[in-house]
Amino acid sequence: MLVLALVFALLVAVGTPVAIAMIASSGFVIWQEGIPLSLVAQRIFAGLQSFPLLAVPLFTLAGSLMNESGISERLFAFTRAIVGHIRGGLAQTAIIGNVFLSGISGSSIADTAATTRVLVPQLERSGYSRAFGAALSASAGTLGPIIPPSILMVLYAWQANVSLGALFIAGLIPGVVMAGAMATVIMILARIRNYPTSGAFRASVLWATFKRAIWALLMPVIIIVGFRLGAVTATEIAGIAALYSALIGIFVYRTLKWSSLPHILTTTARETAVILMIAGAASPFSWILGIEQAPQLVVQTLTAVSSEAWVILLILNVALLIVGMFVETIAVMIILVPILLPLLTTLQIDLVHFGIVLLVNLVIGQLTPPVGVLLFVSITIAKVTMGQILREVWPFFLGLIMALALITYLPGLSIWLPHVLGF
Amino acid sequence: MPASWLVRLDDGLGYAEDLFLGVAHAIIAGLVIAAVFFRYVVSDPLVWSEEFIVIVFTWMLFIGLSSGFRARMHLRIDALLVVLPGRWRGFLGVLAVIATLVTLLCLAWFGTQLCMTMYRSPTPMMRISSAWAIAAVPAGAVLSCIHILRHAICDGLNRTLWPDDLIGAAEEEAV
Repeated sequence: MLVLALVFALLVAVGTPVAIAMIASSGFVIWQEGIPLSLVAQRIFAGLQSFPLLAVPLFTLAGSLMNESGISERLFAFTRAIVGHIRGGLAQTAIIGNVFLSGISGSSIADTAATTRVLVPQLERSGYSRAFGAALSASAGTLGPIIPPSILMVLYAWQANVSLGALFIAGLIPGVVMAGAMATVIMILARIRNYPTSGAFRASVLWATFKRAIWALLMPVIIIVGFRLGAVTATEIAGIAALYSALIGIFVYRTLKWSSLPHILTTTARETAVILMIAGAASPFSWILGIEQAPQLVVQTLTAVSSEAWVILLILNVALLIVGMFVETIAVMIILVPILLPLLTTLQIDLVHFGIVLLVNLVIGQLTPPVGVLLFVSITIAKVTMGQILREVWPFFLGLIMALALITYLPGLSIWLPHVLGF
Repeated sequence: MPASWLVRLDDGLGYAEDLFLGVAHAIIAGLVIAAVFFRYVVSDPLVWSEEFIVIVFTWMLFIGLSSGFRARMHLRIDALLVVLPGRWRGFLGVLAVIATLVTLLCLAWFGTQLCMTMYRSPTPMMRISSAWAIAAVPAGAVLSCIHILRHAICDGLNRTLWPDDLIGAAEEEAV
């Protein structure tokens, strides 16, 4: 196991793509043990032969089609009509808008990019600093993978063998808790910095913007109802979501052109391949970790520290936050979940609850340097420096840590709703 | 000049891969929706569809692996790279490219062996040779090597796997 970890760490450190580093390190160990190397190719291939994983390209496609239809502008106009009139209202628009935007796209990167593009210029015109706008957009983007649909949830459900429907529903309340924490941060900042309101509340504007956004707002409803009815699989729901997005974009909003479809299909296919190749490469990697009894070692080490679930969750949270600072989100999840599963089962920690805790940790990791991908996206688009955004992002980081504590220690926030809805 | 035919080959393959990825993704989405329609509306399920979709999906992923190398999109951990001076980054680039090429060539070799072994074993529903699906593994690996070689020869080893501006890469991913 030490050899596997060393070779992997070395390759990753020199900048080898994560998927290749996983294949190479597991291949090296298998070669050392004298096992035929075709096993590596066989396990990668078998790992990817999975119908549930097809939900990844299809949900990505649905999100991309909606994005291309200019849905983010419509959603932000609608949320501005709801909260714009309160102090700091335009900043609140970013948070509430992302609650809705996350219900369409499954990716925090896409959401942050859309929020930065649409809202930072508006925020700057209203007197907020550009760095604050960038920090706000990056923070609001963390809601993407927590509120369904979510690519990370598809991967976690596949790895931990839990119901994707239950996981999707479980993310709803924690998503709202995170949004609430960030909204509270804005309320405090708005009072201290005397942020402006943006216009009076007008029911007519609210109604007009609602009508323009309604078709997009219906998409999460379709997904959740689809899961609740249980007649179709997660992959089929993702397919229906993609079809719905295409039809709305082309025939209702008329902003999606037929000619842009080939490009969207190609880029989303490539993005999916890059993500899922890590999942495939993880298959021989976790096979070795399994036969070398790494999960049992984790159980023994951590249960020797404490047998209390809350202590272990605290340790895991701190460890995940630190790992998340340095390592890319999907890689952390794919490597760690198989190792942690036996520990969670031993301590009787609900796997759906842990899935949400893990994802919240990982999205917070996307907001911390040096590998905070959401910070990079936001500073690149908003054209501010890392130093400037870091000075503005920390209050949101603290808010999200408080939300993480609540989500970790009140499991009901995650598992109550799926339970009530019969998942 | 050897590089010019490599560039032409690489551009041609890149174009074909983009086309393949788009068509494969459209087939997958179309068949998943058609399967729902046939099962619930026509009550005559497409029994072969799931197996066929998974084969197309496998090809899409491995051609996507290759296309990801062409676009320098593969996920890597930049923590060390962003803090190192350019000269060191160049040195690490050499190591990363060698490790990647060796791994991909092994994957192509052992993937081909696996194809030969599984050649006579039919798939459960469509009864075609399993090699049709497994062949995606060596194909994707060989195509990846061609893209890596092109970048290595034309742009230098320190820009083969990563874009010049590591931070700008985040925006490319976002777009």
